[in-house]
Formats: sequence, C-alpha cells, structure tokens
Amino acid sequence: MHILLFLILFPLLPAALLAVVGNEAVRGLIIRASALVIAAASIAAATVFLGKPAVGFDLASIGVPIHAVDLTLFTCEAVLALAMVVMCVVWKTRQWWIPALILAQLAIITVVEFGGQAAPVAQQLRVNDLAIIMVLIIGIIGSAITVFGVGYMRDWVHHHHGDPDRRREFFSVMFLFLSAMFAIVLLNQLSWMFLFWEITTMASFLLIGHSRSQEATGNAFTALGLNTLGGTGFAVALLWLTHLAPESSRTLDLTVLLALGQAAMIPACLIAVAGLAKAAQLPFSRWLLGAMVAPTPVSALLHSSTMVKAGVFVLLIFAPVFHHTLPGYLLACLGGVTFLVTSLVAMTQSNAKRVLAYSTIANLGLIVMCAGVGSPEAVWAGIMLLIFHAVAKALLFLTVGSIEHRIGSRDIEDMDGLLGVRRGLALCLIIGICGMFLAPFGMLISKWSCLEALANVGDFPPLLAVLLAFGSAPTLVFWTQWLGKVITVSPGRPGEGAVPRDESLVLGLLAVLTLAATLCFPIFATHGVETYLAGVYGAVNPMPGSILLIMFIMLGMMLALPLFYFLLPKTQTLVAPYLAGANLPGNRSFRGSLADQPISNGNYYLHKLLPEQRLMNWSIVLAWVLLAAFAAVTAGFVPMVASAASAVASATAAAAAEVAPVLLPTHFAVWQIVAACLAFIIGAPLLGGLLAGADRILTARMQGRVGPPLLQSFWDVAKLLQKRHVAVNMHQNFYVLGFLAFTVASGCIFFAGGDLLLTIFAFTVGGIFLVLGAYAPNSPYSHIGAQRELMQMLACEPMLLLGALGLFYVTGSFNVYDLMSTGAKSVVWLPGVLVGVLFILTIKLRKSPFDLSTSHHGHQELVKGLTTEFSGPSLALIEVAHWYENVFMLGLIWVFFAWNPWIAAAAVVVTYLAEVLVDNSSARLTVTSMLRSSWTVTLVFGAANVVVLPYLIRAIR
Amino acid sequence: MSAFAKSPWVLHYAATSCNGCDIEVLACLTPLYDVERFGIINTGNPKHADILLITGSVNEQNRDVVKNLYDQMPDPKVVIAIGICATSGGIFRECYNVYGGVDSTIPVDVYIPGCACRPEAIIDGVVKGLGVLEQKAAALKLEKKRA
Repeated sequence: MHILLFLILFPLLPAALLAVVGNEAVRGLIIRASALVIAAASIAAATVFLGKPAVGFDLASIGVPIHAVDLTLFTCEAVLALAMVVMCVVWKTRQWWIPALILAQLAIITVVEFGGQAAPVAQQLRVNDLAIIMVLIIGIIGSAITVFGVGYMRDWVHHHHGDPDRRREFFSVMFLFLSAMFAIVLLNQLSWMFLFWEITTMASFLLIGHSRSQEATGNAFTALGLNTLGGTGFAVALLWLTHLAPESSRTLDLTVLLALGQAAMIPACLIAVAGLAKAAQLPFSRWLLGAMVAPTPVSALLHSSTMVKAGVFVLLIFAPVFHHTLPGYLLACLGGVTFLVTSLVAMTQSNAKRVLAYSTIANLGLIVMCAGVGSPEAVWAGIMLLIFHAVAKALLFLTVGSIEHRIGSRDIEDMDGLLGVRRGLALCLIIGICGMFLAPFGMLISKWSCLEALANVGDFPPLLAVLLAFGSAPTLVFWTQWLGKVITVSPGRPGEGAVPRDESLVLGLLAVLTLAATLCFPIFATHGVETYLAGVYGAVNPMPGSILLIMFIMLGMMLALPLFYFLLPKTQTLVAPYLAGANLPGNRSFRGSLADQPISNGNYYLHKLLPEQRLMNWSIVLAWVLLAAFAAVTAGFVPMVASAASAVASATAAAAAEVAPVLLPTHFAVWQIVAACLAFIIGAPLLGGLLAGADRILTARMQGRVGPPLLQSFWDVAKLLQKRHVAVNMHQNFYVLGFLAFTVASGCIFFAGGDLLLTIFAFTVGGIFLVLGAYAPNSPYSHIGAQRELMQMLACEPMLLLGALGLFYVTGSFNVYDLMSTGAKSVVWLPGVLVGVLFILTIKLRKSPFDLSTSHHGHQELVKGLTTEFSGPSLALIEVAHWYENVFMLGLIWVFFAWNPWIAAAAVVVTYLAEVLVDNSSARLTVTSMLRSSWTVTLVFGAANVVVLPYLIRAIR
Repeated sequence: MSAFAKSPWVLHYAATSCNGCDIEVLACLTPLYDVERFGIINTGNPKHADILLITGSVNEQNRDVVKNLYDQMPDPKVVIAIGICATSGGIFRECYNVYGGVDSTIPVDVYIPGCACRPEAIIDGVVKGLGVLEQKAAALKLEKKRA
C-alpha cells in the first residue's frame, strides 16, 4: 500500500521544488532523478500487484486520519475552484459560463461534502490490473516525457526569445499532473477522485496556455470550458450518489458502486460524460485540436498518452455496467461516430500534429466504443488499444516535436526523404506509425478483436461494426501516406542542429517500448488484461490460441522481413527515375516545354470531397443529438436484474465455457493445413496465370483480334525474371518481397480455413507494402500510382470487412473452414453484400473503370502508375503476387456459394467473364468518382444488408 | 525459342517523326495485324520494355530524351529504327538542328527503311530484332554465370 501512496505523493515533491528552482542544471537534475524514481516506483508497484486479484486498502489502518484528509482535500478543491475563477477574471475571458460552471461545481461539492448521507468509504485505495497498467503508462511514459521536455524546452525558449522564461511553472505543473493521474487511477473514494480529476483540467489549462499568446489562451479556455462541462457531470454523479439515489445505492465507494451492476447506470453515465469530455470525444473534441498550440511535451503528455487516457479509463471501469444496455449502445455509437469522422478528417490533414490529434480522438473513439459495448471481448480490445496507443502515440508526438525543431516544419510534405537525412528520427517515426496501424502490430490486433467483439452486440442493430469498417480504411490511408513520404529516397531536408541527448534518449526508449509492447503482447494479455477481466466478469477466454498463433507467424514475418535485404540481388544497376525521358542531371527536375521544372510529389488530401470544417460541424450536431438520446435513455433506464453484475458474470462464464480454446486455426489437422497452404502456394500462380492468359484472349476476341497464346502470361514472367536487375534505389525491391510474402500469407490463411478477418488484414498489409515500394523512388509517376492505389484500398476496405461481417451473421463464424463447410445458402441472405463485393472486385482485379493505379491496358495515361519504377524480376514478382490476389478474390466469391461446389464454380466463372466484359466496355473513372460510387454501393447494398440481416435471420429461421 | 522471343514488350518513341511511321506502328496493334498474337505489348515505359522503336530523326531537342530512354531500359534490349528518317535522317539529314539517324545517338540493331514503313515491314523488322534480343539474352546469361 505504501508504494501506491508514494506514487501519488512523491511527484508533488519535484513539483514544489521545480516551482522555485530557476537554475537550469539543477532543474535538469531534479527532473531526471524524479522521473527515474517515479518510473522505478511504478515498476515496483507493477511487480507487486500485476496479475493479482484486485485489492482495496483502508488508509485508517496505517493511522491516517481520514476525516482530516477529507477536509484538507475539500479545502484544496475549494481553493482550486476559486483559483480557476480568479484566472478567468484575470485573463478576461468572455465565456462567462466557465466561471459560472466552476462555481456551480463547487456548490454541488459542498453539498456532497457536508450534507451527504452516503455510507463511509471503507477502503480509500483500490488497485487492480487495469489500474496497474495505467500506473505503468503514467509512470514510464509520463516521466519519460518530462525528461524529453528538458532539452525540448531549452530549444523552445531559444525559439521564443522575447517571451519570459516560464519553465518553472511548466515543469512544476507537469509533475503535479503526474501525481493527479496516479491518484485518479488508484483512488477508490469518488469524491477524492473528483478533486484530482479537476486538477488535471486545471493543469491542462495552464499548460495549453503556456505561451500566453492570444491563440494559446483562447484554446486554453476552450479546453477549460469543455472539460469543466464534462466535470460537472462528475459532480452531479456525486450529488446523485449522496442525495438523490435510492437509499440502498448511496455510496461514494467505487468498488461498492460497481458491485451494484446495472443499478449504477445513472452515476455511471454521468461520469461517462466527464470521461467523454476528457477523452475529447465528439461533441467535446474541439479542445484537443486547440491544445496543439502547446509545446510538444504537453501534447504528448496530456493529449495523447495520459490525460485523455483518464477519460477512457473511467469508461472502461464502468464497462460492465454498460454491457447489453441501450445507454451503453448509444455510448458506443458516439465513440463509433467519433472514430469514423475523425479518421476521415485526419486523412485530409498534412499538418503532422493535427493528423496525430485527429487520430488520437479516433483511437479513443474506438476505446469508447469498446467500453460502451462492455462485453469482456470488447473490454479486452479496449485495454489493448489503450496500451498500444499510449506507447506509440507518445513516441510519435515527441518525434514530430523533435523533427519540427530540426527542419522547422511540421508538415508531412516536408518530411519527404527523412529516412535518408535523419535516420534516427525517421526510424522512430516509422516504428511509431507501424505500432499504430500495421499488422500484426498492436493496433491491428486490437482492431481485429474489436471487430469480432462488435459483431456480437446482442439485440441492437450492428451499426457499430459498420462504423468500424468504414472508419478503419481512412486510418490506413493517412498512416501509409505519411510512412511513404518518410521512406522516399530523395534529397530531403536535413535541417540544422543535432537532437539533444535527453530527447534522443527518450525517443530511443519509447521506440524500444513500442517494439517490446508488440513482442510481449501475449504476456501482458494473459498476465494483466485477462486477469483483470477474470476479476470483473468471472472466467473469460477472449483470445483463441489459433489467432495468437497466426498473429505470431505474421509478426515473425514482419520481423524477418529485414532479412529479405540479404535476398536482394547484390548486382542491382541503379538508373534514373522515369521522367518521360526529360530528366535533367540530378533527376530532381525535368525539362518542361517552357522551362526547367523541379519535380514535386504531393499526397492526395481530398479537401474537396471531405471539407474539414463542414464535416466536423455536422458531426458535432449529430453527436449532441446522440448525447441527448443517451441522457434521455439513461434517465428512463430500468435495470434488468438487481444484481446484474453477478448475472452477467455467470452468463459470460457460461459462454466462455462453451467456446473451448482451439489451438489450431481450423478444424483441419496439421497436415491438412500444410497441404492446403502448399496447394495454394503452388496452385494459385498456375491458376492465376492461366486466368490472366484467358483474360487476354477474351479481351482480344471482344476487340475483334486473335490475341496471344493461353500461356502468354507465363512467358512474360519467365522473360522478366531473366532480365537484368535495374532499380532506382536499393530499397524499392525489398518492399515487393513484402507484398508477395503477405499476399501469399493471406491466401494461405484463407485456403487453410483460417480467420477471414485476419486474411483481409494480411491482404491489406501486402497492399501497403506495394504502395510503400512505389513510394520509395522519387518518381512522380510512381507516387501518383501509389496515391491512387491507396485510394483504391480506401474504396475497397469497408466492403471487404462488411463482407466478412455478413458471412459471420449467416454462419456464426469468421473461420473460412466454417464458411466453406456450412450448409447455409449465404448468397440468399447476402444479396446486397454480394453486389458490393462484386463492385469492389473490379477495383481489386485492377479492371476498368477502376484501373487507376496501374493497368494492363495499352491506354495508360500515367505510364504504368504504381509499377512505373519496377522492372525485370521485381515486376515479375508483382505480377505473380497479383495472380495470388486474383485467386484469393475469386475464392471470396466462392464462399458465397459454398454450399454447392458446382454452383460456386459456375458463379466464379460467370463473375470473371463479367469482369472482363466490364473491363472492355467502360472508360476509366476519376479518383473521386471511384470513391463516391464504391462507398455509395457499399453503404446502400453492403451496409444495409448487414444491418437488417440479424433481424431477417431471427424472423425467418 | 526463349522467353524473350515470346514476350517482347516494346516502347515506342516518336523523335522528329512526321507521324506517318507512328500511325503505321500503331496500325500493327489493330485487329488487322494484331501483334499481340506474338506476345508483343506496347508498354509505354522504358523500365518494362525490351525493344525501343524510334521513328523520326534525332535533333537537338530530343537527343537527351532518346539517350535517357535507352539508358533506363534494362538489359537485354534492342533498338529498332523505323522509317528512313530514323535510319539516316532522311530528308531532314542536312537540317541545322538534326544530328542524323538514331545511330548518331544510341546503338541501333535493326533498320527498317520506308516513308512511311508498311506495317508488314515493321513486323518483319521486329521479328528480326527478336533474333538479336535472343543473342543478347544468351550473352547476358553467360555474363551472369561468370560473375
């Protein structure tokens, strides 16, 4: 218990010291030493408590006078509130409602403190695995960020000379903040927790307004206002718990409250509003974007890795209350809408910090979605998301801060070629981005389990999974765009100055942590997250061994990929990028018709299709409506079972017992799996090559020609393999190997009967590798191709996921084995989904009118797009990988007709013929019309079909 | 026949051509001649091409372009000069800005004279070029083996 108290109280010491010490060397020393102590203490706490059952502690047992502490904290509360009101007056904010709200809160808290009738809280501290995970995040990442601040703030003061040096206040508030965070996650007495909740609000106000510029102050007040609005929800919850609630459920003890189950719905929802504000969810999200004016350590500490986590932390605590309830469902919808909208908007941003801000909100939306669903699987996913997001986002924020100080820009376009000129920083960025989205890295694991969890939301329409399906495609696009810019081999902007030692140390540490979190996720999944869930829900087994196995194989592939560098031929001849032959010496410019022009490779940002301001305004309106519905539903909520927690626990325990852990991916034996994989690896290129040949003959016949022989595609590949290795740089062919490897892997998972969602993710990862390969050379044609390929993936991804979802509803499984062996006539249930899948099939097969990124036709207007800079053997590999892709896609069509192989085979043949016909009878569309049409079809046919499906099935079967 | 002879991908570049020969090159792709029967594809990209078809003479404006395109094609590769201008400069030979035929700038393997060349002649020339391509491929194989 002492270690927990130490964690809460110790940061106050450096906070006090730093407020008075002005000497730079001494300050650095204090910060480093305290950071070390805090990190060590949090690790010590983890070794004591991690993986153990939840425990509570009574402070009175070690002689702490509870009543005195209570009064002291209340005094602090009052002083804090008055201080904030004074600040509002001093800084002359026009938003009069902020001080009014603060005073209202104070009044409520006074009533709670002195007029309450709640039973005394027996245990003031509580610790469980979720709290310990938070402690580790705060203790390690939070204190690392303060160390990063030492060097960073020196630069900051240097860049902002003229402003007074406010570093004393800055670091003091940072440590105060750490203390408050520890208190929030460890306290069990809600009225105490509220004080620290408000301290984080005030700390963020001070830190955002650090520079005292007009913009900073305005944004600080926005943050203060929105968080106070949320905090009022918390205060009202306390009022409810002491005055308004039925006599039996009046308590300020969190553990007791949670044990009430669904009877605790009203306070849970009130506190959830506070959590939503703190987690910057949609209608409150504006403050987080404004907060980006603050120095980078603030963004990293408050707005990515810790403070917003306090918001989702309380939501996750109350997740069991929300399980299978309408308020919970609406809460999840709010998170889902936030996820979708902010992911879309993030795609339109080129300012790195704004991309990070929007993606932070999006990821928190995902966690809110998990908390709202509240099933053990969803909470599992939510906690995983929380961990990976904290580590990777802190790394990304700090790296962007460092880059900004070196190259003087935070624009993604200016990070072109960073890998060549700032290797260390670029590697940190790459690790961070991969940690955020690339399979099989953390976020993807979590997203996968999230989708699985969302597929089962009981009696409510499956809107959440649809939101997730649409929202995850844009995240893929903006991360890949960014990654592509960084890895381009071009003369980038090196900027000036070296990275300060503190900064590089922290960046290195966080990069290692991200990798470690990825590698060790099964360990903390079983020894932290699952023990927590077991404590809350009873026995659970959310993660089947088979999935872990496949994910580990994929992880191994990802880590083994660098070894492919050794497979690359040693004798690659380097040539200039293609510039229509008009290259000028140096290949950075070309001879235009009027003058010599530099080449420029800009990303697509889709401003016109997705105007940021309008999108945000509309979604804020929608979010208020959802919030109002949430409030109304909560007010009228009737708990189903008196002691719902135990009922839920026993129900989930029964469900967990039903689903026995399966070690292998399917019901196949090992030798059958190996045989299926081998058959795919050898058979698919044969089939794919023949299909390509037949395609060319058919095309020729449709054009009144004879066409090439059937085996032509094999000759082409054989020829390409014999050509000399030519490349623009040494790296580009490496990505092609990744593309091939992951495409083959996805097909293997599919044909060995594995999980369909994993198949789709592996398939996507393969596509990302191809895009990165096209990004590697500094060639405009290749970059445009890469961009267009990304747009194609954006168009396809939602429908692929919805297809998997639809099949899941029909067969009750994501396993391809079950889909294939089911007797259900999937196509009868899924006509809309089939239409959608057929539509995107044209995109995936790279057929007109959707052959935008590259084309097999002679009528290419952008040379060869994606494949422009690939030649000889690597082009052959791309072609072979494309054969694999085609076979996999046709396999997907087969699944819809799987109950009868003859019908299925006929359907596949007819589909392919139709594709060839469409290919030859349509003109190519623009990017925007492709996006519009494919998303419309996905929405109208796919999503509509999926949403009504569970009801249809229930009605008819 | 090796794979090279079965899958020759061509890149077509019009230097100072009057477009007469260009139209005949494109005519080869039409249903009447349909060179795809022999696996020939017009790639439009030097990185993918095995055979460079050039029409027209080489002048100051396009000399670097011809050189660049040739350099960016991976070995083994063959250059075919189509039409009398590409062969020798033709009637533009004495122009102040003209260097002459394609061989004034890059090595040429097959010459197809004519003004404009007939598609049959072009197809014949390409088939002749295939022989050269195979020889070069064999030489490259030998070189790879030695290395």
